[in-house]
Amino acid sequence: MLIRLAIKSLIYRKASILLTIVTVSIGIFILLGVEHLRDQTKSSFTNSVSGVDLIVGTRTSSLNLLLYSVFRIGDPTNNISWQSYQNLSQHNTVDWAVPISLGDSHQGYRVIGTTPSYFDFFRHGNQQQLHFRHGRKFESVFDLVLGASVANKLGYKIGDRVVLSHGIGHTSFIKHDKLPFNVIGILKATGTPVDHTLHVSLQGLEAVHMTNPLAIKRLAKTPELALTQATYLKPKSITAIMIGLKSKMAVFNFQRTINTNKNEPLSAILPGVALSQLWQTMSVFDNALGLITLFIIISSLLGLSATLLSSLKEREPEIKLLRTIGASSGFIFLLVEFEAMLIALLSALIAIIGLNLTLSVAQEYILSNYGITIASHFTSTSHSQIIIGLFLLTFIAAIPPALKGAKKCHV
Amino acid sequence: MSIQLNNVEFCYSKATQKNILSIDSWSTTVGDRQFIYGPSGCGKSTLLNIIGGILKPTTGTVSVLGESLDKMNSHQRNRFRANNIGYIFQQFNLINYLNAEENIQLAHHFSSRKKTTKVRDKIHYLLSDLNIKSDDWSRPVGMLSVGQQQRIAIARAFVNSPQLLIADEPTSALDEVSTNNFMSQLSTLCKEHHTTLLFVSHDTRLKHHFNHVHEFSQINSKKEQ
Ligand SMILES: Nc1ncnc2c1ncn2[C@@H]1O[C@H](COP(=O)(O)OP(=O)(O)OP(=O)(O)O)[C@@H](O)[C@H]1O
Ligand SMILES: [Mg+2]
Repeated sequence: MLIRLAIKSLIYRKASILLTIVTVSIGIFILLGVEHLRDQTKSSFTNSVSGVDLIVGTRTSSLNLLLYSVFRIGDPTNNISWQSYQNLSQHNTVDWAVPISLGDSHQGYRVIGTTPSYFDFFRHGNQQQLHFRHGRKFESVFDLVLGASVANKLGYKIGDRVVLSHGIGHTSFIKHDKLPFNVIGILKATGTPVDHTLHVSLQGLEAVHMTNPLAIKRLAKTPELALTQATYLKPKSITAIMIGLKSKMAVFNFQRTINTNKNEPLSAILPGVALSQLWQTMSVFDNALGLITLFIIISSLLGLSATLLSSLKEREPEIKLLRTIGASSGFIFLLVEFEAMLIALLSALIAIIGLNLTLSVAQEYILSNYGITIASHFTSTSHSQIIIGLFLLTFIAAIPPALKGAKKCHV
Repeated sequence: MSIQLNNVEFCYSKATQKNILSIDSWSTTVGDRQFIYGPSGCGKSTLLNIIGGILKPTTGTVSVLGESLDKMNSHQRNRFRANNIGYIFQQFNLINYLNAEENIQLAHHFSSRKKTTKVRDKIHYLLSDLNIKSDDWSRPVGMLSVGQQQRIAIARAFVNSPQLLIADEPTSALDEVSTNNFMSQLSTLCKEHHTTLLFVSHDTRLKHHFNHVHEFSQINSKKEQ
């Protein structure tokens, strides 16, 4: 009876109630939307690399190593020797080791030199592998694999010829134009810095950095030169090494071994740990955003409270009548509370449906423009805590009108 | 079984201490139809609210149908009212956005009578008895005429077969023909249900429908200044 009374009473006052529902659902929409974005940005960020146990670079701060090896931000101060790579990759606790070399660019996008095994071992997100949208990984010295955004923005397709620039940035004047690369593969979008990267072989990088004009001329005649036939292009140094261990238990021991290495100053970081440390440094903005959305939801719930409070005046005869035919003051209290809950429930439903629609529309746009993968389906189960908190807040916000309603009649 | 008031005083605001009611002793045996008349503003509605347990007297004892209202807590008074007393007012008798059936069900809901399917039959019987067409049973009562609404209010008052029916100027919005209709239907139902009728009005022309008539100024010793 309470439920039927509450529903019918809301329908009867639909004009003002509808307005309240719109206000509250906008508040919930913003709250859940921002919360979802925060969540997804964080997981997109902290999952930029996964399945890599250690990243090894020259001795530098872990933040710096992380920035240049994973996000291709900043410059590696020093390289590490090829000898160190070979020593590490043959260590008995190491399952696999993939070298990477940075320093060149193409139209502002970074170029990474690596081995074909990079495409097998690199993981992002929830242990997801790299997948090819077109083509395959490189087999020849001058093969090139493009990240999804690079291919998209620059409009490259399989078979296109691409010239790398020495150094970083659009303004680089030295172009390796004698030795162009051949687009052989295009990766699927990952929502990580991989999307903004061009991948070539270490030998290819070595080749374009040769200074002997005769050697360059000779190489230009063999654009199809297979990697296996180019042993003389062996790199002397690389920027960093990604390492997977046979046993995860060994990771701290092995990290210490590397960090205290006597032959060459090396440092090793655990990418997961370093990523969440980096995220922590940005948590001020993250928390400020959370606080703002909290204020938005509180103000819309205060609006709800005000609407209910002002409606009590016109409902006075109704409440008096209910009391006269035997309703307790508790019944009136519950009636007003229940109406508030119904409004919150309707608003939450509208907000969730609206958010799902918005996300499914905006998903592509956000991925291609900000490189963040957003799950389009917003599951209310993952945000059930927020919803429960919301109902709690609604209950509290409705206490003043409910109390006032309950006290409407002497007795 | 009676209504008995002793040393009852009542004022709405404790600040002014202005007594509306001051009754040394008044009692009436329950049974039959009782009529109380008095001018507007003299405190008739206030007295009825005290008898119904909606208002608590500032001092004094109130006993209705053998139960002491002043000894009950608010929960017990709610229950007592829902189970034993029917109400009909001048206006705002019904909840606008509910239909006739729901309005009557609501009164049944608050009583501690058994919730059975027979209630629907009783509601339908009462409504037909009071000449409400079945088409109008499920329309929001706000869309019905004032006369129809007052008759639905009678049905609402009788659904719990109350021992006491309190009527506070229920006819003042009705014309003479409707008033006579209303009075005769009310009287018939009171006889059928063995319900005591306590009827209040300033309109002395209604006297002849009753077998006991009280003048309000005889009950209330607090005189208008
Ligand atoms: N809720 C209230 N708060 C304060 N004073 C009230 C309240 N209700 C009534 N009064 C005052 O109490 C006095 C008696 O009011 P009451 O409604 O009992 O009169 P009444 O005899 O029923 O009048 P009427 O015939 O017009 O219905 C009036 O002077 C009125 O101003
Ligand atoms: Mg009155």
